[in-house]
Amino acid sequence: MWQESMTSSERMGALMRGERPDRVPVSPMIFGHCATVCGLPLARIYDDPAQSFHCQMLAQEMYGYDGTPMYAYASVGAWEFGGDIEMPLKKYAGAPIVTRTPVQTEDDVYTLQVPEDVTKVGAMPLILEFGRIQAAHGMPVGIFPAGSSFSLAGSIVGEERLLKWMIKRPELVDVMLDKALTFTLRVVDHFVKEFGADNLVAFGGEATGSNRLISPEQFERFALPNIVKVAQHVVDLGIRATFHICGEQNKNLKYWQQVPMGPHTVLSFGREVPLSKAMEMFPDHIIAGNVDPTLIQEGAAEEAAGPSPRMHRDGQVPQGRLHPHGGVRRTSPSSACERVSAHQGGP
Amino acid sequence: MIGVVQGDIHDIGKNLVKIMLEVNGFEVYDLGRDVEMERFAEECLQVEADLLCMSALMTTTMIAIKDYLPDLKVRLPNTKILVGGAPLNQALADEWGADGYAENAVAAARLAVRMMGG
Repeated sequence: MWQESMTSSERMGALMRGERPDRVPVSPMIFGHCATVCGLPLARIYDDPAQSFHCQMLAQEMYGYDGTPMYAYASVGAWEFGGDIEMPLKKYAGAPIVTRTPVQTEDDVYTLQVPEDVTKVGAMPLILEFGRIQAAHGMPVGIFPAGSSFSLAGSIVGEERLLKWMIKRPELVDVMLDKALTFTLRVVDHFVKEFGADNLVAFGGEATGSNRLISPEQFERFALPNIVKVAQHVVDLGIRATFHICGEQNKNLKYWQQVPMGPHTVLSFGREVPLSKAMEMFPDHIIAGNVDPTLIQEGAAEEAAGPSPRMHRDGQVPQGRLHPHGGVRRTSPSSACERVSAHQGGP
Repeated sequence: MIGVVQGDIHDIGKNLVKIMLEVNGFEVYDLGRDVEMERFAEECLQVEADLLCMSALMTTTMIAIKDYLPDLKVRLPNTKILVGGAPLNQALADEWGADGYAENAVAAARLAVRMMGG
């Protein structure tokens, strides 16, 4: 029987150094499932850093997967700029949702203030507390949000309004993007000040840039410039980065190639992007994802076992880590076990 | 009748489907987002809806569609139910008992016309 020759920490270390680990590392973002198997309400993942960290550690130990606990959610931005969010307390809720955007009118765009002290607004105290727990456990501290000011602007303005303004009032979008960029850079700089650049991993997701919502030309015009600016800032500080390139972004990949990235940056993709294409376009980086969250949640255990043409849509084994959807909640423990054990059978 | 199921606030797709239905001649009652099953049932009964369209964007909220369908099929025998949203697919829609599934707004309108005998 094949046995692992590396600890999880050694495996992730080898991956990040560009060396060959003993097997494909598995790092599922299954926050909701972690809460479920630990008997916690899902909201605790997002409103209680200590419980969130602890239950993610327990789930990781139980299933034997890799990576470290993390704090992130897609709709970050609105609360930090003065809007309201709702923690996932209702049945079917999967993550915090925006209930009131801080920008409702065109005038709001100009009067909106970028928080001077980013440590005190919205989810930032929770995110920083989570980071302190990571640091106390000797783990890299995740900087969040540290990716796209485009998605951040979508959360602040409301995605549908942002999409309309991109066509009718692009100058308003530019103002919003500048403010979102300023906030993001302040977040990065605070993490450096508190934790030191050597101990950080910047995490950025880009969901609103999906080609289901915008064209590749709009991505180049509105999303790319600030992604490049944040990424360059992160690279200049010597910080490792992770990008989640969410959803259908096949036509944006040529633009993602222009984003400054340090060595062995982790790039995770949605189920829509074939791993073979991602590996071809980003040969120097760690490729992850292309996992079908619907199948993990609704499929039988053996279907979730992959890699298979159904699980990884193009039948490829990822170069790096696996990265299912963060919202997956109701997947059965047997599906989760199958998903992990499928990659514990060898390199 | 159209709406996004409970727990989900992603309504861009639903709004596009609404526009496509309207330009195809449908009179559309929009229940918005985060809609509970009871409201879908009551509103459909009140206006004697021919068609109910439900969507979800998240893997967590698509389960609401799965949970709603058995009751809605019983309570709304004269209403066809069409479902959609990013995590759904034809196989799931069939398994859960929906009358139709569409991948995008254009396909939804075309299917809705066919379902109404057009």
